[in-house]
Amino acid sequence: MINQERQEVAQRLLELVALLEYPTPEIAERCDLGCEELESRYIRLFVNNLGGVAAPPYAGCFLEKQDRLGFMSAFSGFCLEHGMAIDPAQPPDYIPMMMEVLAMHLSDDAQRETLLSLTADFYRDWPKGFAAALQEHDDVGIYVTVADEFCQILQKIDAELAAIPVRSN
Amino acid sequence: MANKKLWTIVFDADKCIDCKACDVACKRENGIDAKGNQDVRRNWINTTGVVGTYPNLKQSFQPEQCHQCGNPPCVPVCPVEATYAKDDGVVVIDKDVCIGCTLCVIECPYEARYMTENDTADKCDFCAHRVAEGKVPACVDTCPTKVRVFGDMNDPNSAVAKLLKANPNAKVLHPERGTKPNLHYIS
Amino acid sequence: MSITRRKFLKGSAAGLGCLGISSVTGFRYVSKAHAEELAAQKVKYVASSCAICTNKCVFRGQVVNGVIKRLEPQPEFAKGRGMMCARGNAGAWTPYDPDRVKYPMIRTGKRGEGKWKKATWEEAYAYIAEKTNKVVEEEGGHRSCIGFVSSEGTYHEHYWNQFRAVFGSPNSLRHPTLCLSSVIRGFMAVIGTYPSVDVINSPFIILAGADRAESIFTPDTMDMFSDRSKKIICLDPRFTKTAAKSTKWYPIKPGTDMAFALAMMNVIIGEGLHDKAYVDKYAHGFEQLTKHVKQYTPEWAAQETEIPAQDIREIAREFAGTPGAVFYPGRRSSWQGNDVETRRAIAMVNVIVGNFDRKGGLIPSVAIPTANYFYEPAWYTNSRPRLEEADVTFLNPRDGSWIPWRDRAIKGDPYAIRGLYIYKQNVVASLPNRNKTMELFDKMDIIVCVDTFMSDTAWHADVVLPETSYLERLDPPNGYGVNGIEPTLTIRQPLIKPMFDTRSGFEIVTGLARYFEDEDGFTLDEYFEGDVESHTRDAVADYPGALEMMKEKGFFTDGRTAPIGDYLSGKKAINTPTKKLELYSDDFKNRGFDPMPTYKKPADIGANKFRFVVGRHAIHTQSMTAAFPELNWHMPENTVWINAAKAKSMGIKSGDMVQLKNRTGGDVQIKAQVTEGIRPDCVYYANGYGSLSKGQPLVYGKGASQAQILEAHFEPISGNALMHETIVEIRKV
Repeated sequence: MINQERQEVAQRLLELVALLEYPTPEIAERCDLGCEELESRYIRLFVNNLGGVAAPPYAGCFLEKQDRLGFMSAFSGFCLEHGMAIDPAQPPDYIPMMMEVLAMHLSDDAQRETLLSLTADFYRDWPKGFAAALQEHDDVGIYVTVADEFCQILQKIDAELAAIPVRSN
Repeated sequence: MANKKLWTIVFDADKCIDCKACDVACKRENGIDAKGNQDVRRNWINTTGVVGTYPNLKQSFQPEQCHQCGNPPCVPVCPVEATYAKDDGVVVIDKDVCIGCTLCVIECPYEARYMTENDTADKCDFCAHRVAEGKVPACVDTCPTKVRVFGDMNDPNSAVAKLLKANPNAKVLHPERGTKPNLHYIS
Repeated sequence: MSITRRKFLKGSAAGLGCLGISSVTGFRYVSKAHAEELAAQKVKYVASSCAICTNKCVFRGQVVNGVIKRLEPQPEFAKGRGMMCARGNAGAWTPYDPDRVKYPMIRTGKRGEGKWKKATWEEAYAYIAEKTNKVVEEEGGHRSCIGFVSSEGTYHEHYWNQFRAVFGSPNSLRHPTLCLSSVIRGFMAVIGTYPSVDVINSPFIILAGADRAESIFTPDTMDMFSDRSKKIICLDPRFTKTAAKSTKWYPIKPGTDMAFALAMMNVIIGEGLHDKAYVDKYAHGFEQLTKHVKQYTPEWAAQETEIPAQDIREIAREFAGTPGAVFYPGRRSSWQGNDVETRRAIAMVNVIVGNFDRKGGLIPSVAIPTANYFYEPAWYTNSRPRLEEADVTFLNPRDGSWIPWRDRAIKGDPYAIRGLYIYKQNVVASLPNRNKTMELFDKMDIIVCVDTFMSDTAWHADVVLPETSYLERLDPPNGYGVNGIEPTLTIRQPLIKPMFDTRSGFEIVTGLARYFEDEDGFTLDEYFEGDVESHTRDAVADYPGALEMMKEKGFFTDGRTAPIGDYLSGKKAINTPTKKLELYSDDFKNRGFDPMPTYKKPADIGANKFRFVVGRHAIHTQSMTAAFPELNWHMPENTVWINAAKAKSMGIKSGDMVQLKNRTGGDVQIKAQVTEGIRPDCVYYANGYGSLSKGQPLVYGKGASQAQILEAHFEPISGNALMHETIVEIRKV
């Protein structure tokens, strides 16, 4: 991806993050829902829910092959190594936060190798798992759309990274 | 060689109250998320179950893990030499080499090995990363009743060597398999 | 897919862009960190102490890249004997649990419906204050109409109690009457204290239902089972893991433990095996006791307990002949209506062999005193006595007595209770007869619940306030749970910063206090001084180096131990009315109770009925831990234990779904577990399952709740609930 494209994708990720935030009257109106109704649906999806959080917004809850605490620690370590501090008020695998980490790497025009190792190590199984959970439980519609678009963005990044030959110095 | 270690655990299994501290400590220490799969564990507690007829009942517990055999049956069956015994007697697996053929899992008479979600074999390594820091394995120090004693059998002054000397009737499990285990049970 | 969703998708044909997110201003969660901050982060250890049960075991918390990896036992912490149990290890998960309560929430639907909205702390406080002040006004300004419920284990409960006191309600409800009030009262009456037991030096221990292998209590559990030379006699209707580790298990008939103790005294005194010099010097009422226990022969006790007379006789002789033999007091003793008297009898068995204040015996606990955190009391001209004050003889005003209190609160007798403020006591899961608890909740105008998880109780509240987990905050040092023979002080220090929008107990109550006034118009926050840091410093200011030691190691000790023999030497006075060990109690007589434990036969339960017995499991602390993933998979659901022969006669097999029905309208469905390990006339299942709260996904709809099957009874001496007075019928579903 050329730099400008990267900036656009980064900006789009930040928009997706904004959509995953706690509902505002503005969003509720767009969804044709009363704000209180959207709030209670949001809480059931992401915060505290009938039968447990339907779509926990934490990547580690959708890992098939890894321990969540180990994943969080490794991800947090990666961010620190690359000069990024993540919000300690969220578990390190908080999905909107992970979207931002990716966005920041893109907007910083990170090295291909860095992006490759970031996406390969930390953005594998779970985006699809998160999207699948929302596909099943999101009766608002907005959140599953966000998760799907995030999967598409990841695919696009993967494809672009695969297309560029490895730089040899 | 004078300095060569032989890491060993001596069990006083009669002290075990089946509280599962060793299991949970191991999983946390080694970052194992079994996701509810009971086969995914590096240590476990055997039990006879409740034996007898009410009210004459008995039940005993016996914690177990990889025996770090002196003659490990899991090693020769590995087609790619991914598993081997280190100098200190601990049998380890190079996960980058392991091809997930499961032969070692099948061959182990103690059922100490399991397959991970990443399709490689895994098992207890006496918390090698902790031992390297001078600590004991997680299962050893977390135990409320201190069932396990960990130490170097090559050192005659170690607690394990003394315990075995004081308990000539100590046994190993499956002696008939000739595995030369480094887990010893004094009860 | 709902209509709403289709509408949304239709309306968003142009993609999400049309949502017009105009306010995307940049990064919310990620920033460029400073290099020096990063360097400090990698791996660190923080000394702190556990909060999953009452023991407060000290650990070294390993934090890697800001994430808790492991809680390793602190080997130097003497009371815990350097261990960390399954629950303590699993506690590392707590802060990250996706089902934590994350920010203040206000209910928007019906109670229990699960409709919430997020609130700021100030919004939540204002909401609570408005509702509360309204009911207080309607009740003529008296503050007693709000019940305050709390659970100990953290220092922050003190702040909660302070808030209650300055708010002006006498109605404080804590957990002891669901647990150990009767054993405390029974032992207090005889030896003047609820003692520690010198288990490590005792070669012979009798346990009446104390399941020490599964109900881990430091250091008793470790000392009892790590030295296998001890002889242990276990009386329990159920073959527990303690029974499995005991020298001899007797499936005693529930409610007859007193008969066993009385018959032991019959043998010991009758055969002259008691410690004559000791009894002469330190006991009061030995002559009366001698006459009294003559009627209680082993042959008689055998009929009651179903333990052979010869065995009782031999146990009594060996007990009297073994220096340091002890009849263990137990902790949870809320069983039957005769519990105070049963515990008194058990205390007396210990006294007549002379083991109070002696090696291997009952030792008065000592604590390392901390400087008290004082606060000004608030005075209200129209304050009223506790609701259930007349119902219980020895009512502890801070603990209350749950069962009669709830009955009176439901009836509004003698005055109305209009609100509940609940601090981390999961009353919906822990109080017998859940239907009644729900009835109580229905009467409330306001229910506030502080918790870390969506417990059953939080689920039915109007406002949920999220507390920080024990791994995210500072708890000042105190000796609760760590006093004893080798007392220590423990501290809690944050391993990580508080996550989400959570606050410590102190922050919660001081924030709330700003919204209330006392009679003179001062806001209640004026009663709170300092902060958690200053209280931490002040508490141990008398001990040079203590704070530093606690910060480094998680605990402080000055090496003191209980001075065994100080009561016998006269250096300290025995804390009973006669200053003697009371085998006969004038105090009890004057209050209309039996001066000596007098046996009353438990009522016949009837044919084909079962007594429900409660008990513990080593991987769980009551209802608190069942939803921890690492523990839950060891017991994904609870099952009801039914005796094998009995089950066969009823055509029940393991795995069959059965219905249990009690006498007061409580019923549950649960899978059967057919076992040899329980009496034919008893059934049991573990606590913590069958959650009503869909906020605890791993236990919601799994197994059955104890609160739902237990009938609500209590005894009026100590106010204890009776957990073994539930009689059930069983049928296959």
